[in-house]
Amino acid sequence: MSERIPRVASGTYAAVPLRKPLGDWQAAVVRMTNLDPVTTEIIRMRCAVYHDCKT
Amino acid sequence: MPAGGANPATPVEPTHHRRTSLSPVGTDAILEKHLAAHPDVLEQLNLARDAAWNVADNRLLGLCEQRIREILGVADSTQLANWYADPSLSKAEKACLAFTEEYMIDVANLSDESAAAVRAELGDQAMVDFVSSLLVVEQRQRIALTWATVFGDSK
Repeated sequence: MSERIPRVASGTYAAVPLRKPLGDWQAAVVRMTNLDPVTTEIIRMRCAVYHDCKT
Repeated sequence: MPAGGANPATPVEPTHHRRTSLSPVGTDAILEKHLAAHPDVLEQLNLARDAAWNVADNRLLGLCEQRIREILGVADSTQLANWYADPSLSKAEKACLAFTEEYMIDVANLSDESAAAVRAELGDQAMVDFVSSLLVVEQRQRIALTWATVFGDSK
C-alpha cells in the first residue's frame, strides 16, 4: 500500500460547531443495541474498507 | 435550489435510471419516521445537519447536495450533469463538484488532484469544513434513500 500524502495541514479539524454534533451523532449510533454484535462488526469492517479509514 | 448550476444542455437521463424524486423535506420525514424510537440519534443527526449548513458556504454545499441527489437518482432534475461546461460556475464550485462526484462514487480512491484543487480554492480550514459538511449531507440522502427503498416509504 502506498503511503498517504496529507491533503491538509496537520492539526486542521472541522470547526467545533460541526465537529461536536458529528462526534455526538456517531456516539449515539454506537450506543444503539438493536443489532447483534457479530452483524455490527461485519458492517463496521465493511465500512472501514469502503472508507479506507482504518478504524 | 441553487440557480447557478442550471444548464439547458443537460441531457435527459435514460428512463431506467430514473427514480421518484426524494425532496429534502421527504428526506427529513423519512429520517424522523424511522428514528422516532431513537430520539437521541435523530437529535444528533439533525444537529449535525444544522451545523453543516451553518459552517459551510451554503451555495457551494447546495450545489454539491444537488449533485449528490442527481447521482443517487432522487433529484427532481439533472441540472448539474454538465456542470464542467457551465460558465456560470466558479472555479471553486467546479473543484468541489468534481470532488463530490469522486467522493460519491469511490471515496477511498478519491484522487490527490481533486483534493488539491479544492484545497487550492478554499484553503485548509474551509476544505475540512466543506468535506465534513458534505459527509453530513450525503449521509442523510443515502440513509433516507435506503430506508425508502427497503421499507417502501412514500417518497
